[in-house]
Amino acid sequence: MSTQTKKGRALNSSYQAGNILKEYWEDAARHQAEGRPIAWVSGNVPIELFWSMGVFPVYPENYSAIIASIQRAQEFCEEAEQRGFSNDLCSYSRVNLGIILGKGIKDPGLPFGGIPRPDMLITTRIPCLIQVKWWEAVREFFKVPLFVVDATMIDLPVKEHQRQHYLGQIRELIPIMESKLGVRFQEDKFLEALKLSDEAAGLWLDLLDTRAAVPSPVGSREMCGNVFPLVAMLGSSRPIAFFKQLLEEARECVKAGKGAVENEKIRLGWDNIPMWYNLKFFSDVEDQNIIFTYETYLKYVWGGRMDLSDPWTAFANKHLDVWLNYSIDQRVRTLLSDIPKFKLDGFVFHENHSCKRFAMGQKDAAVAIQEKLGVPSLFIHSDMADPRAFSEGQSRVKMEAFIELLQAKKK
Amino acid sequence: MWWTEDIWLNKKNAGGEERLMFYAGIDAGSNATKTVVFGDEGILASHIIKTGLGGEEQALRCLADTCAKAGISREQVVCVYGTGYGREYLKFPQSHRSELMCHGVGVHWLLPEVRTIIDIGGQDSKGIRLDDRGEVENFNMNDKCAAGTGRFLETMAHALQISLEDIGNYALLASKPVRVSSTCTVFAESEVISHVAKGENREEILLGICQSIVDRVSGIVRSIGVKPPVAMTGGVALNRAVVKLMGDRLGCPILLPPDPQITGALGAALMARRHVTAGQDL
Ligand SMILES: Nc1ncnc2c1ncn2[C@@H]1O[C@H](COP(=O)(O)OP(=O)(O)OP(=O)(O)O)[C@@H](O)[C@H]1O
Ligand code: SF4
Ligand SMILES: [Mg+2]
Repeated sequence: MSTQTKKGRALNSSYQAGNILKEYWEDAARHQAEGRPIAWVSGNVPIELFWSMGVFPVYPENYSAIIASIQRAQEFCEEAEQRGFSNDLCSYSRVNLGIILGKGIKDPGLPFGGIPRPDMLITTRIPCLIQVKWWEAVREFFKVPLFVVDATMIDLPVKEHQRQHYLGQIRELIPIMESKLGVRFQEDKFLEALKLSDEAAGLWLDLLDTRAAVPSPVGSREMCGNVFPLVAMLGSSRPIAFFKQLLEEARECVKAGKGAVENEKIRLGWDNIPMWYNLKFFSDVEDQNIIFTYETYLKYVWGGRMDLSDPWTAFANKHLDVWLNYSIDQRVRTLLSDIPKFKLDGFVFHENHSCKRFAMGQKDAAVAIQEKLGVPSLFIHSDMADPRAFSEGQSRVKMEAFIELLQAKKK
Repeated sequence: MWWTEDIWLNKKNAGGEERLMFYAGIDAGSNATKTVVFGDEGILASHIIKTGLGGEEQALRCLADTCAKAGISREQVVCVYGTGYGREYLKFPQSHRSELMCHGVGVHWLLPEVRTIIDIGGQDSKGIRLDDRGEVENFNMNDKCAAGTGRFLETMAHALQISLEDIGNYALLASKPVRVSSTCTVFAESEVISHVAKGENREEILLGICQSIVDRVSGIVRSIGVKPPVAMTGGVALNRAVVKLMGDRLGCPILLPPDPQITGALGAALMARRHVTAGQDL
């Protein structure tokens, strides 16, 4: 196995990602300094609503991922655990609670000057219930209102009663936000936010689709760094220019037959949240004529197209149609259709200790793709933020053996 | 001595007389470093030493000792392949491969009919399924802790002040096991000590220890789908009780290569030979 010298980004525009992230956290702090409302929110909340109402959506989940990426998650996890939070709780929550209950969200040692204080907490049951319990613990500390958007688990297509249930929750949320945060809902602004969200999502999905090309223009290591605007900024105009540039570059690469890795031989898919403290896991593999070119996390968790001729229906569909809210059957069906499309030779399932809702059904999926497509898979047991869950030696052997298996199969 | 086994003689006699080129495989395991020197037609010598902190130097010494046993000079070894936990730290081998592949290749050469291998070493337990060409078809291994590995047995041997070699023999004298329920090696050690303090029968405790290894490892192996014939490799395959209990658990006989601890190094040596004879990095 040759170790080549470290390469830069495959797409030049990817270098902007760090700045966008920095600006977002600076904007959040400025927003608060100007006396405007901040909501702490979580994955799969109705984000377009917040941007349209002038409520800045702050993502502690993202902040926990940043903490993990700068190799500091363990200290905050331990801080939370010492205060009685179980090691089995989602590590995003442990990092966040460790920050809050330790030296506090404004500790000068924290990146971007810390996390702005919440005026309201908004979450949803769509991804999981830990999120709800986490927000309840945060509410104890900050004594601010908490709203939980309920939703049912779905099988596509989304059914009318599922949509109505979801929209009923949104109709309840809006007046509460208005009264608690002193903001006003304006439908035209909301529709404008939906348009921006849809445009950004369209660009992103097209960008992911370019990666079905052989060779693939960009790998997982790089794309995991580019996803942030899709997580936190849908409904604002910021993601659009960025994704447009990425898409243009990726298309040019595809046209020129230029791959992100030299002499691409093996194509892999990845399931579940990446190990933020160890994105090197991707780049180490991507140094060896192998590319990770597909991720459920990047394709089905954030963003989604909306048919704006019927905006409320489209809005509800978009928010319910996310991987974490899929039944096992829906997940399996999705993989069975995407794996051939992306021409994947193998699939790596991250058995994420934290995100059980994501890891649900992985074994069923692995069996299905082996039996129906003859595509082998590998399980890496670890965690997205807590590095204590990762076994370096064992994971390396497994990955190496998996690559050997795929190479032998190709011969 | 294992090289008097039939299988070995058959392999050895199958070939020609002239042996000018030699190949070596080195399995730098977490617990033991194993080397095999291979001539054109078979194994010339093998050697096992504790890995310790020796690193590259230790591995080179192991190889030198094996060459001495084989009656050849180190220079006559034209190609070396590495495997095992320390494979990436060794500079001298031409290339390295995972233990899973190496055990697969080694076992396939010795026992071509085998379709499932259970390798239990010092800190890893692995299940490996082979196709009829001896290629790895599926595999799984422990990735969180050392329960169900040789390290567990070493801790227990220490706690009970008995030699590793004797654990299996004494365990087989018991008719029923004393249950050892802790998965954690450290907790299991205190559990075992408390069994001793309560005056439980020693052989039965030992059988319980071996049973607990089998309980852990059979889960890993079953997750890949067991296809008979099944073979065991790694140092723990030298423990007769573990082998017997594993066969009972899986409901099929367990085949043992003549020297189960060196099959990884053998596989590496075979790949070194392929490297030279096929003129390419395989
Ligand atoms: N004579 C013996 N009887 C019983 N068990 C033994 C004997 N010799 C070694 N072992 C066991 O074998 C283990 C070492 O096996 P092996 O050499 O296959 O491990 P390794 O390859 O170094 O480890 P790993 O593959 O986990 O990195 C020891 O931990 C010990 O428990
Ligand atoms: S468990 Fe998963 S879905 Fe739930 S908060 Fe954590 S990362 Fe999000
Ligand atoms: Mg070994």
